[in-house]
Amino acid sequence: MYLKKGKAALLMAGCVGLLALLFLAAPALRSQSLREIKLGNPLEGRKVFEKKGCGHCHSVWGARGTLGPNLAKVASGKTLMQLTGLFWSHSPKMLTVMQQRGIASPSFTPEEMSGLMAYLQYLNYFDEPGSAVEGEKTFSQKGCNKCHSLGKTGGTVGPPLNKYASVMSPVTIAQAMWNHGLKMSSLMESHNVARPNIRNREMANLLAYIRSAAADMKPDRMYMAPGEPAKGKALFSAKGCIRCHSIRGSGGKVAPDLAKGPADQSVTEIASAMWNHGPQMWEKMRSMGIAVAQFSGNEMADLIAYLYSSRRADSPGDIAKGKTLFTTKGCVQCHGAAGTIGPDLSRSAALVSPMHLGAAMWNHASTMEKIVAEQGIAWPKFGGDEMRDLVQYVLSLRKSPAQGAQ
Amino acid sequence: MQRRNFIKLVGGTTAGLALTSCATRQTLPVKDPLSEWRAGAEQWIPSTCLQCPGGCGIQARIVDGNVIKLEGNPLHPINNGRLCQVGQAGLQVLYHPDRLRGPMIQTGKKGSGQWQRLSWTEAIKTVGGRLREMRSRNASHSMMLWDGYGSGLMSALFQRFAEVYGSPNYCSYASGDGMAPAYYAEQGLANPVGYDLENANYILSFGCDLLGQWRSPVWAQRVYGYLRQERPGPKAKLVQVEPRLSLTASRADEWIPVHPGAQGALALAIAYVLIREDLYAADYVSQHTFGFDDWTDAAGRRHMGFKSLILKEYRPDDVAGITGVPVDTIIRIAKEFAQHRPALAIGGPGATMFSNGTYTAMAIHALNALVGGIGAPGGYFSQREFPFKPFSPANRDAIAQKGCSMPRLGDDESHPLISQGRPDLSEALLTETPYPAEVLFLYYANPLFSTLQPEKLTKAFEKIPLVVSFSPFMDESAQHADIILPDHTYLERWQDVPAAPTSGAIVLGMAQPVIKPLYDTLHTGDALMLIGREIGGSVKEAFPWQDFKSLLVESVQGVFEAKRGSVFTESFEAENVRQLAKRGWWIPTHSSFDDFWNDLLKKGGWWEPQDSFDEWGKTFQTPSGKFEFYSQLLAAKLAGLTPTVGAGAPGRRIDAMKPLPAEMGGGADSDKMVLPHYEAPKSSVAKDGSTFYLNVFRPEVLVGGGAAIPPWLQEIIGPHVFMKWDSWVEINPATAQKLEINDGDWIWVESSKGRFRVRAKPYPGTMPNVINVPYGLGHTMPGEWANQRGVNPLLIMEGKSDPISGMAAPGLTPVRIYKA
Repeated sequence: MYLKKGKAALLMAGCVGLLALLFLAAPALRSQSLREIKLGNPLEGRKVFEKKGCGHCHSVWGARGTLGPNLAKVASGKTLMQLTGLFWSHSPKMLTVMQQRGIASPSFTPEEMSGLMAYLQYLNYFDEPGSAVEGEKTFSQKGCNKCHSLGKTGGTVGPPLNKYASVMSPVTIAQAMWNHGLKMSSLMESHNVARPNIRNREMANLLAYIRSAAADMKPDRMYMAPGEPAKGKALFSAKGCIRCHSIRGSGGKVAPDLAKGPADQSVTEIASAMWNHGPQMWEKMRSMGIAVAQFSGNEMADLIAYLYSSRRADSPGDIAKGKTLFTTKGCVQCHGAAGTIGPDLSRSAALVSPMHLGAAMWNHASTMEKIVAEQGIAWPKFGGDEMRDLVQYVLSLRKSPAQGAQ
Repeated sequence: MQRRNFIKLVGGTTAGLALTSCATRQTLPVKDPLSEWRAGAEQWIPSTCLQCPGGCGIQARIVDGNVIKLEGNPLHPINNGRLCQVGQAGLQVLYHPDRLRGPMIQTGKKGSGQWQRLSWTEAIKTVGGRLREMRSRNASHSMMLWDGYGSGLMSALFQRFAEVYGSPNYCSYASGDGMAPAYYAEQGLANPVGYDLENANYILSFGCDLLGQWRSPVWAQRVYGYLRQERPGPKAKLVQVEPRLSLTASRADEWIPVHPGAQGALALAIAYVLIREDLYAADYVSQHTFGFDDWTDAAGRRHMGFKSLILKEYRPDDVAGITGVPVDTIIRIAKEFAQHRPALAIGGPGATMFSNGTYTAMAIHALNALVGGIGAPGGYFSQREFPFKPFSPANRDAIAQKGCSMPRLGDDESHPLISQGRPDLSEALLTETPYPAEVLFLYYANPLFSTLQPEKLTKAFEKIPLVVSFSPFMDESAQHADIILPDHTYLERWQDVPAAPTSGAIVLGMAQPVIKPLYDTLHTGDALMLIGREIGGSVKEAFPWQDFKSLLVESVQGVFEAKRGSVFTESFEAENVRQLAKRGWWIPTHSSFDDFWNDLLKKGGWWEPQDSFDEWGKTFQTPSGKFEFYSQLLAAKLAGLTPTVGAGAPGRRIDAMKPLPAEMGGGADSDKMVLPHYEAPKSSVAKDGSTFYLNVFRPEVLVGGGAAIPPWLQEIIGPHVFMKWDSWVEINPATAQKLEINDGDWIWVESSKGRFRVRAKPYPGTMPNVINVPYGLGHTMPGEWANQRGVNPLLIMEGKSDPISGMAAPGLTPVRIYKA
């Protein structure tokens, strides 16, 4: 293969730089399987989003740039590796636009990449704000007003809802409904009120209406703190959920595996689903002699954060598929045993964790893009779980230090 | 010549000259002036500007312990790093040569100027001793606290002092835009509201100098820039309605000159078009308003609704004559207003400073209800409270309880909405109604300058045995005080600074000392606590804090514990906080209060976004729970009933009110009296040949209204007419030509009450029948920078007031002008 002198020098310099970066990047750690991906800190991730200039082109929740797509939407229902694949697949387009606009291409440390991906995933944990107008319709359609008073009108069977006017998060309402669920169900039965199912955004809408129509607004506003999956995992055991439900096969088999629920559900939608399945669950629990768990403080948000992250966790990749992809996507042409252009990946210091690899891939995307263009190779794109499988394969290539020295 | 050779030549010549010099003069050790130079130790300290109610964040540049420059704090949500000229001039307030150096006592009679310095111990003992003596004879109620700052913890502290001491006479005199009576009558709100300007498509401003004077000019100008350039989609239109071309009018898309005091009529004619042509938000009006249509009360009596009144009396053809605005313009503006929603109608002193101020404000605000803007995006927000930790309950002894149960000084029962107004107390203090004041405290209040009745108030001051001023300057009122306990300037003290309501967000700036106090001054909060301790007993116990800073730290603990909002942060993070709050979430950011407090001081303050609309229970605190075109609160006041909801402003008591006097146009049962309507503003008696109305306005640089006008601001006081260090009178150029008055001529402006001499300035932004004179100059106080610079136009204006709110109404004084 013939390369002009200048370009070859540039390429060499790029590769040497990249290799140096990869080798210096992290201490040698045990190769990490996909099951062990540690979710980055989303709060740090949003700082990365801002610091690295993602907001020049992309918006999040309607704020910032409009050139690129709204990343909150893009990330909806995606696992970490699916997002990484998307990120990679779009990198040539992004790089071109950045170049046209004079924006320097940012580089990421593995921690930054991990945080950024976690931030994008986390955006859909939160619902869009509810609509009071829709909430009003739901309130009467579901018959809430038959038992509860709001403002100056409504029923007297249940407690007045004005006190919830200071509540800002729909999960607080969901938690209160869950805690009173058994009592509510029996009261509904005795008053011939059909137990309503709450779907989609209805819970958020209901809260918006309660806030809108409440007669005596308290000056306080009560927010919830976003749930923490780790705490939620502990609650999943402590509250006895694990006795019936499992997460990715681990746990009880009486009820469905909760990691298999819809991946695009928000926290409130998951909470609503709990309410909807309440009678079924309670019946089963009664027959098994399990007390209905009560939630307080931030517990429901934590529990749902755990379910939310479980549904977006990557399942283990398929090394064989990854190997095939390594060939079919053309990676092998530069990085394989016969390839001389790209570095030998088996010696890469990035083979520490998926996010080390993801960061290294992005960081050398601009160098690789030039080479790919020169070589006439199509930019490899990874859809679905392809990135997961590829990463699993590449991570498996890592040689032990002893092997590396040979 | 080569460069090297040239250097050699020049070097040789210089050396030669130097040698020659040495040979002919005595040799002195030459010291390099820069040898001892060192870079000063530089520091930036965040704080908050207190030059006006806007509450912008500042950063003070300190070099070797001296404040040498003020800049805006980029993290502050109000000013985002900008700082106006008034804020910049804060340095000249700090270093003002006329600042008072320490506590003083007037040894001669009030106003004699015979002052003597005394120690703080003596001063506190004198004041505290007097107050203690008054309590011993159950006269605590005759102490009066006049608070011109009117917000935050200092005001809360004054109120606590009044409560535990035993006086109902705490008066908040913070400046307002005259809209408060309407917010109370129509929405039942005692607190000011915020405007969602950022989402408005059409802003119809009635005499509200939004960009120059309103609450926070820096915020308003920033948002205006956003509305006109940055905002995606359609840009907003601003229409300014007022007699004078103000800064806002000059930046607006359209200026509509209107006869002084006739803005209310214009608003009602616009309402006529909206109703007549079915352009109003019918759904909103039916769901969220009361009294639009005619209605029948529980007793079966039929009442007139807003719609009937408007269609009957406010045809644009009829109103055009009253307002001077052509019919076509009225109809066009009305249609634009209705068709470019969200649309906002806002009012300001330019519309409300007349005897018909309350009804004008109600008429303007009714337009917002007609387009469904109250509680909706692009409209009005009700303001939330700051989550300060409440003071621990104070033990009020029997004296305090008795004192607080006394009627308030100056609560003139003929004004039904007096709790929303700021009545001129000159008459009450002079006539000692219902009892004499024995001690008067003045905090950032200079009523002897701002009153329409200075002679009366001066006499009233003379009758008060002890007048205490906390002013850092010898302003007009301090001159007539007995004791001055000068406060630190804002750059030397701790203070919470709640920013004036603007966008619905609540913003708490922290002012912290950026320099040690230059003189023997004392934080007024500390002074008040010391006075309380001097009084002793339960009053002493009510002030357990070591000083104001301790109180501040304790109160701010509530902000930390509220688990809301955020310490000031950069814009992306702020957007995250806003977006999460809208969805009901809040991320903990500080592990301990100490951590929070330190960050608060480092970043300059705390803020909570506006996160939701349509909270009707909070938006409408009226008996109907809706916007009331037909104000039941006003009706209750007129009928002498105490309303069941909508308590008055803190520190104010709502009493049963008598019906209005018959000359107001109707008795308590008249529906029109509680609906927005137009009444011709009352004018004083015209002197022969008075063909102009005197319109006063405040120049932008005097936005804070302080008496110590520093040179930087004096230099830019009237740039549009090239005036500085002096007042002027703006005359319509055609009128000036007719009267043969030239630019810069000295002319007399004369009313039935008196006259003053100023330079004439033909200014196209003047209506032919109006002359404009700036307010804020013409101080009579020692020192070089403000004394006798210009004139105070209030001195020749009649002391009218709005009969509903009791607010001073200087707006319509007929004058004649002639060459000096």
